[in-house]
Amino acid sequence: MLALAALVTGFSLQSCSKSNPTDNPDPEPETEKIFAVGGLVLDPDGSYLFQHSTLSEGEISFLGKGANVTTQDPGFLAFMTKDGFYYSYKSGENTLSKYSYVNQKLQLVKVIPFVLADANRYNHQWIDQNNLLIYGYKGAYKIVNVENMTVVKEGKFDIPTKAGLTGPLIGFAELKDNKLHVGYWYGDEKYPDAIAKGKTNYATGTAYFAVFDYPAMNNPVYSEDNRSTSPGNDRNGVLKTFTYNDDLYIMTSPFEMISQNWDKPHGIYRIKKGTSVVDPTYFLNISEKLNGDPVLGGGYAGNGKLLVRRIRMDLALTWQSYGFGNVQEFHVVDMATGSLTKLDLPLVKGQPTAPNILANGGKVYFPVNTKKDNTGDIHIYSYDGAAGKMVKGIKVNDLDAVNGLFKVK
Amino acid sequence: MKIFLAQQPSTFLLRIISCTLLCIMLLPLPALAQQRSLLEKNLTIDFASIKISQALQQIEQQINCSFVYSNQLLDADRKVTKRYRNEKLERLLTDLFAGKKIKLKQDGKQVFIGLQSERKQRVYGRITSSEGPLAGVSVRFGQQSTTTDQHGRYELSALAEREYLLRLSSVGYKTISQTVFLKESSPLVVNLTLQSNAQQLQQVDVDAKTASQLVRETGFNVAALELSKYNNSTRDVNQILNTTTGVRIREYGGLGSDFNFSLNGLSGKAIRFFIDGIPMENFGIGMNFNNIPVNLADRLEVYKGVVPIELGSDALGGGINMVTNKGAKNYLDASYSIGSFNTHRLSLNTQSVNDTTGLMFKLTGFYNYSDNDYWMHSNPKYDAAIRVPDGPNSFIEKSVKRFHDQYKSGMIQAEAGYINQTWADALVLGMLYNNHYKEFQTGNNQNIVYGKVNRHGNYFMPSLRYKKDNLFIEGLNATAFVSYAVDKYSVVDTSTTTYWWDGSASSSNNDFGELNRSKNRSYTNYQNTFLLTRVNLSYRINEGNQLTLNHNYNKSDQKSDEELSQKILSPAGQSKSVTGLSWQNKSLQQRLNTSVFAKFFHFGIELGAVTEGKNPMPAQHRSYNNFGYGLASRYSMGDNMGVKFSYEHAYRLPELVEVLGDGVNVIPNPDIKPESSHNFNINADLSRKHDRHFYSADIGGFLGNAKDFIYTIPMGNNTSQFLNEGKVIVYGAEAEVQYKYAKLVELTLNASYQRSKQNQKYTYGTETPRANYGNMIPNQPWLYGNLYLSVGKSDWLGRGTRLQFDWSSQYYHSFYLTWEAWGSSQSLNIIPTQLLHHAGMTYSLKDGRYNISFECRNLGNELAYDNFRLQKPGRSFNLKLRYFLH
Repeated sequence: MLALAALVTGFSLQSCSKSNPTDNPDPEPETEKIFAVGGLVLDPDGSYLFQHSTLSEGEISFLGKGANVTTQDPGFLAFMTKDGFYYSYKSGENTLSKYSYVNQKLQLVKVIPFVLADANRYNHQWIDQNNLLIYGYKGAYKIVNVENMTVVKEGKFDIPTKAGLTGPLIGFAELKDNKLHVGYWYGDEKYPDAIAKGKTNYATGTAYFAVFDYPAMNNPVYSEDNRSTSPGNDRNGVLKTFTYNDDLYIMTSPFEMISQNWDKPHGIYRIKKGTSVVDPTYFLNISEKLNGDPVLGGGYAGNGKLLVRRIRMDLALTWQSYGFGNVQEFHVVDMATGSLTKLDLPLVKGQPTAPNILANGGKVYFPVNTKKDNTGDIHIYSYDGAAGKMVKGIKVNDLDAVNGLFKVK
Repeated sequence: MKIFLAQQPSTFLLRIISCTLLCIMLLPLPALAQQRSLLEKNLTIDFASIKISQALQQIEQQINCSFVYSNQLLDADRKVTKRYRNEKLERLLTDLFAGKKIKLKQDGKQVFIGLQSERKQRVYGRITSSEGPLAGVSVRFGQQSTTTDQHGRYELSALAEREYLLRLSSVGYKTISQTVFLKESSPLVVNLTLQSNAQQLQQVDVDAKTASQLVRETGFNVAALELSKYNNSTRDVNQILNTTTGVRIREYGGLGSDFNFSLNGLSGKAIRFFIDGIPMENFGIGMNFNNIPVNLADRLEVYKGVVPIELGSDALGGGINMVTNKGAKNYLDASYSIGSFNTHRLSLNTQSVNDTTGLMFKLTGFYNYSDNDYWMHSNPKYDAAIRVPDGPNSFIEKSVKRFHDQYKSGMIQAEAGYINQTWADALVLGMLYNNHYKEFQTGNNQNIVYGKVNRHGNYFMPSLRYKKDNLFIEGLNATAFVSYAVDKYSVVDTSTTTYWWDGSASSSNNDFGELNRSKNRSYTNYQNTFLLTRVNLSYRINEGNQLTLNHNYNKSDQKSDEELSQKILSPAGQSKSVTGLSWQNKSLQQRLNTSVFAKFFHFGIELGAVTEGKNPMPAQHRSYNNFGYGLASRYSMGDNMGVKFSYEHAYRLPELVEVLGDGVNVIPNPDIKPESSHNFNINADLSRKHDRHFYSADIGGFLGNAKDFIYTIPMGNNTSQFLNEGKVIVYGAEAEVQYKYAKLVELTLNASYQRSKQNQKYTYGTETPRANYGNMIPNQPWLYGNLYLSVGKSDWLGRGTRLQFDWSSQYYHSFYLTWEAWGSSQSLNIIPTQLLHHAGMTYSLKDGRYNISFECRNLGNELAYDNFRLQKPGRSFNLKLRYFLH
């Protein structure tokens, strides 16, 4: 009996010495925070969010700090941020939640029913300060006024289906000049095998575009191009389009993790201002300049400078190595000349499908995870488009990966 | 229409089974009443030096019946002189055949008189004097006798179950004569202290050890649970196991729900389940410890960390063996219970043995039905809100009843064969059928609501088992088992609608199903087949040494197809064999009981070619060969105290579901590897009996170092996958104390502490160091305890009655869903601390033949969670009626 009592008491004391679930540390000082770093700890995966006033300097640790957001946003593919709030759509639960970051915790502001057909994958676009467009990868969309959390418009993009093919599968929707530009592709389980031995294709070899009048969402103009496929991508928050010289530029993503077409290069399409079709005279073939490798994720830094993440396929031999092997490089594309410049960094690792590259205020912030064996660390670097300069920024400790970078306010 | 038709036969069959069970339960009552009326008739009759056969004829004439018996077997030509006055026939016949253990059975006007089977048992013990062990003491049990050795020890074997006159004599000491009763179910231990002629006898200690006690006295870290005290309870096997030290069962819902079983820090498939030594995975997806009524089992053996080779499996963290054998006797155990959530449970367990011919027939079965429509309450404190829409742009939180969680399952097993023959101790052919229908209410948390998803299937297994002691030569015992099973089930995800918690539609006209919003609706059929062979040979070399060889071979194949897309999914199969050899030794005057063993594992897996879809694969074959070994030892310090140590280098081979998924929530992983572990246990036990008081205490610690640990992790919103998570260290301790006072009071208190440490330095497959290396793995209960109190009084409300009150409490300490050290403490997700109480009252009549019990589970109507955002049932009431004849 005594032994049992000692056992229970001992363990209780031990449990008390750890942080008790009901304990609340002192609230953090309320300073202006505008960025958030999303961190991942592996297996079982935990997702954590750390709000900070700058990404350019200093050091942060996630040990005992930051908000655990594992249940709000596993993997950081859900968060959409604006004016200090986080919005999270969960297709499996049919909910859209609005959170604020209070005392290192996400506090629910409001949750509303939000049903979007076939929207296991989805993307978002801020229509204006208050209205958020969320669209599923099969074309259903809703626009929600986030101030009062009400759905103000809903429907489905008027895009044709094709017999025998899966789709259309939406890669981006971008509002520009009162036009909603939509890019899409089709999947074909019987599509001919890739030229490369042992590789199979799923995405057909054509990129499709539709441009609608907004807000009427009518008068669609369709166009297509077969120099690449899969315009945009189906991962929320990962670079799809950018505007340069007032023209809309569109990244393509035939990469295995997105649409899977080994025969088509990764590159950039253009829809010129004032037109509603893809520009047949322009396609920047990035893969061609990078030994055929894919690029996924990046950010436009302004001044015609685009940062992209290259995956070294000669080093990435397994699916696991895409996210956890040191197989990535960062390059800057000069949009004026089409040339690429490799940034002076060692090989890094990072989840290429995660929204962890952030363009803000003429800079692109990106995580540089050089961990290997017992060396390396994680820093957030930034590339300044105007200065054409890369700067080493904040050091992020005690994480397996930075899977999200957000501008919150 | 297809779905409807597919369900109809199984529903019909379930009804047939339930009606059959009900009829079988009810039928014996009038029949038995008639039987008792004849055997209980009173007679007045005299026999004056006549043969027994003639005496029986006289009885036949007097009460108009006829006797069937073997003249030779019963020695009915023996002459008797007897005089009976108003004596019951049953007692009269027993007296007439005094010296023989007869068995009576009535069929109409016929009364069969046979001999009860006499399983041989042994008696052993130690004789001491005030000066120490006594050698050369004459020990006589009935007609058998022996003398004690130099250590005062003796043993007599091949004794039948009956009453014996024990006589001990030695020169210079008082002779002891005492009556003792030997049961067939367990050996008898008689330890005596003789007094010199000048002294009076001071102590006689006669103690019959139960099978559970004998199991506990091996070197294995084992908890042996006698289930007889739970037979009137409505609990299933899992609920009883959940009160054992080191065991934590995390259920996802009510009756029939999925569960995760953890034992000493390891969980999932690292723990193996057996029924009479047969691995449970061979019993199909529809049969689990959470739907088997307690009445079907005799005892449970919980092996922690180290598992004997007799169980013939690749249990990494331990094994649970449910023993159903209640001996070679006739009995009928039938029960029906009704409870909250429209829960109905029937069970039947009956056996008949013809002692003359050795023919035995056994029928077991159960039927479970529940709507599981318990209330789900919003609990925002623990981030477990229940929301239903309140207009197009808002929710309200409210309590709702589960609306799609019906569960029904039935099982019937018939066994027939011969026992106690010269050519076989048992040769039994069995047929087992089970059928289940299960609705799914939620995904891996209650925020994901399903309204139509279900699984249904049926399972059929013929089997043959053989047992023979002293096969060919003295001391060579053999058992063999072979079975072939077909398990067919379908996972139905055909709804075009998704649902809110109030049952209203959240979306409709969908192409996708409810299980996965990116996959089309589906109706997937699975057909698994299992071939199992098991051979066990043990040879007793001498009193102190025994060798045992065990071989299990298991082959399973899976075929599946999806009806809506007309796709035939890739066939797959796996074979698994485990060969074990052990040497058991008793030394140091039998104080040291050691078992050394080795196991060889072979695992092969075949995956058919995947020709369609995004990631086609060629056909694949993988195989693994692994060699495990271990030791289990107990040193007895006196008769009431012992210390144990056990170790095993264990392997666990992946199962079909881990490689191929379950078609619902588990994603395939063809690259999975076997996991291995070095498991250590150390235990001490102490017991003491003083008059009618009994005290016992057990305390133990364990350490496991697991590699390639297979761990299930969420993969997306509502699916998970098994991965080789790398290295994990588990360690912990447990303690249990018990007090009993005769049959009046029993109090048991136990506590378990266990932790699992992440010991994988690098991310799997890379050279990237992991941030959480050395941290405690989250989402695992680590401190819990149980209290059990029963107070019962026999013959209080009349002779043969018993009234018993039971109380049990379960405590679970809170734990975190995610890594404790990461993120602010206020943002961590918590599975809260819980203290649940259950109470029951049982009234038994006629020495336990008729029983009625009333139980309340979760008395305080606590919001109980075993898993994050998966609320378990609240307060429930159950009434159980049980008829037990033996």
